[in-house]
Amino acid sequence: MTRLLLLLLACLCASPALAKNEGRRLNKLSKMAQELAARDTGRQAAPELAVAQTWLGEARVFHKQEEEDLLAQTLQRLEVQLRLVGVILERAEAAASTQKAELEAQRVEALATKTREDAFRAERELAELEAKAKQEAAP
Amino acid sequence: MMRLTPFAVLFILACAPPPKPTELLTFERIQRDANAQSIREAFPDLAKEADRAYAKALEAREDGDHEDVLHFTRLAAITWRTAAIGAEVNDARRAETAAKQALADAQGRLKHAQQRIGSATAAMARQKRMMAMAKQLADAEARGRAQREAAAAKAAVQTAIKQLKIAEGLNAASYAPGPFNKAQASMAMAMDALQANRFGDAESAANFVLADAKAAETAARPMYEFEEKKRNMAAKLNALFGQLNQIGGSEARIEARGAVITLRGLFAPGKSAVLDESLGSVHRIGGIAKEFKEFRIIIEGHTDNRGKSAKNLALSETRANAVKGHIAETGVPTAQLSVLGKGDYEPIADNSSRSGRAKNRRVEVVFLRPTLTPPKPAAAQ
Repeated sequence: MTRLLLLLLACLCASPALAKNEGRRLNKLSKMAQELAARDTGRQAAPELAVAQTWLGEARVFHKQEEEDLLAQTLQRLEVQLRLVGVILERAEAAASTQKAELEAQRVEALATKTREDAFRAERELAELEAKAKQEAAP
Repeated sequence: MMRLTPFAVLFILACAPPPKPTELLTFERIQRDANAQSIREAFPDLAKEADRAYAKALEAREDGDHEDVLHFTRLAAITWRTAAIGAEVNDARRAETAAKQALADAQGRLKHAQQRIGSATAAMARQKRMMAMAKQLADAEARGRAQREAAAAKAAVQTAIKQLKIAEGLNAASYAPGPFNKAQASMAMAMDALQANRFGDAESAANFVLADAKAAETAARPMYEFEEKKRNMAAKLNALFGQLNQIGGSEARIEARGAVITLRGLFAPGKSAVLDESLGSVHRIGGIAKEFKEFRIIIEGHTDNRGKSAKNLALSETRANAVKGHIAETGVPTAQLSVLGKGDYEPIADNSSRSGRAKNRRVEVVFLRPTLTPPKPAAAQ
């Protein structure tokens, strides 16, 4: 999370520099959009990505038409939108990881319960064996 | 005046600020939510960024730039939503951490349970090994005990067999049939038990055999020894008779009282001195008497019936004493020798003829059969 925020902060800080070359900025955001779309296997951020794609399309049109102000505004919105998509995906991944860990914990807990029962049985069997041995050893 | 009123209203309306767009109102509403403060605390930078966009939107509204109002309102809304979802990410991360901690705890419990199983299983294996070893030891002890029992049983049976043979040698079957038969029956049982590896039974039966065979031996031995003495005595009597029979001029025989040798012509008529030619025979009898010390000797003198009987009696006794004296000369103890004058009281032939009278004139040396006392029959049973 922190890493992503730092990345986004760096992107924001770099935005004035990129403003000189909006085309490069457009490419970068386009690539970012592709990466985020690839991460969204569960389609948790599908609506947000759709909005981002719309703005990406608009940005390309403005870039072609050399509408610099409109392009700058659209890229700014696109950037913020992609940051949102990133956070949504992160939330989904954390939830999936949580679910996975919880399932694994449940499985292990069940296994531990069974193993405890087995251990109890083994200990009881051992106690019986010891008692038998003691009885046989008795004169 | 009334005509001017609509224009005045239009003027006022034209001068009034335009209404807030829906997006801006929505943004203002979500910023008043209960969790807005916590979102600001979690992501102050994003919140400030949203605030800045919101401020710019307000400025644009003041400027009447509707496009910029929408643009900055969107930026503010997206930024705020990013912060809000970021807060949710934090919650999800905490949940993830908790789930992982739960997993770690469960794994710890599993490990502990597995360790318990491991230690219990190892202890069980040790216990089973110990029990197996104890069983092997017990089996070995049992085998050793069985071997010892077998050896003891065999030794007892061998001892019993020896004792039974002793009893058998003493003819216990005849002299002590009761205990001997019991011993034999017990021996059969002992052999059966030995064959069936019932060593305890075999030893017990062998002990019974031993006891019964000893009882049979004890009961049979006196009878056996008595019979043995009788046989020995009969053999000696035969040997004595054989030696007496070799003395010339005499007659030897075996009677119930013992071996008897009859000597004739030892004396001149009416005399009581042994003739020299007959002394050899008398001395040989003395030699035989020394050899057979257990036989008491009676020397009996006999005459024919001529003359007075009293005188004949005295003569016969004198003559017997003369023979005794000559026998004693050979070293025979006088205590072994007795004398008896019988005169003419026991003729063995007719005194009316000469040859008959010659037969009646005689000296008989009787080697008395020693008296053997039989054991009490009750003891044999």
